[in-house]
Amino acid sequence: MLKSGQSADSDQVTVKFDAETAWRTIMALMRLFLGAWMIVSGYSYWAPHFGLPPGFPQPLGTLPASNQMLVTMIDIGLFNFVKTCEIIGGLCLVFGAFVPLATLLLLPISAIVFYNAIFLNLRTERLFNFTYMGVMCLYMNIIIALAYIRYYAPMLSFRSSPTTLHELRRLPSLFDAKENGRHEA
Amino acid sequence: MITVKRSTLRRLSVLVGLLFVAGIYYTMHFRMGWDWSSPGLGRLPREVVQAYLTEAYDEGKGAEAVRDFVAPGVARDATPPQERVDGPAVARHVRATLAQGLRVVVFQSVAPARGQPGADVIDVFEVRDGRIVHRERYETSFGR
Repeated sequence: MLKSGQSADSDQVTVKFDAETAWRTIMALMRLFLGAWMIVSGYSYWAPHFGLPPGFPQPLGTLPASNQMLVTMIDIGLFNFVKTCEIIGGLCLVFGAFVPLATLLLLPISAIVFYNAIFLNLRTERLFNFTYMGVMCLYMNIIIALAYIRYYAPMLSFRSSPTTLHELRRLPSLFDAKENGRHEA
Repeated sequence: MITVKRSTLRRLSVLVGLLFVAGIYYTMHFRMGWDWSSPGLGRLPREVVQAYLTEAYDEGKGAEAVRDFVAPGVARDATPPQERVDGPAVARHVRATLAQGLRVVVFQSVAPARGQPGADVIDVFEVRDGRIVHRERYETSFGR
């Protein structure tokens, strides 16, 4: 989380009190908060299905278009998928596992939350209200994605070509901390 | 400058994350003023209306159904008399239920009961926060 210097062979990290450490700390706190929010949000949807108390009742929107979208998404079962993704993505962010992937997974969800808040519920007065999770989810998600941009850079290649399924052999190395840079605390 | 174990930082990070989870849960559950006494809270409008009609008509517990599912101030003006009181079950046949957003429309035939004549009716409901906040009833004939 706060690493400024490291030794490749040891489990020790040196933390300097400088701007880089401050940046890493802010990014870590943002990642943890977004993850925690997603866990509570996903749990609150699923909890009543198992007779457990939710964190909050599933919102169904304020204005008709929002009501219609949310009720329909629940009715057709799409929310089961969305809320499961929220829990999986949230757990990844909190436990610092597959963070770039989890950030991408949560990005469309955050975008829909933003769309619902601003374009369907017309809460434009809260566009820059930093306590309103209807917009903050997306802002935090984008900032976290930017903080992990080096993991997305290869994916943004202008020219690319398909490879063979032999590349699947690289999958086990996903869990190799050294291979992936050991940047997560 | 300090030197710490990477595993310690990792554990600290997870701990902070779990504290955020607990804090968000506590704030959202206890500080937002939800009416947790409402059994319809968090349920789809269609489910709330079905639960209300089942309790009021099929189980004959009209007073309890109104208390559970109808917002205060709406009950007396909008609910038909046979729904508001307890009594024997009232036979009814639901022909269709349509739901869009927070609005639910029920097409049903209600048998004579509790001093009221039988009728074909179209019931229109609007549900917010698990309670019926608007109710209209239109008598009609489905042309049996």
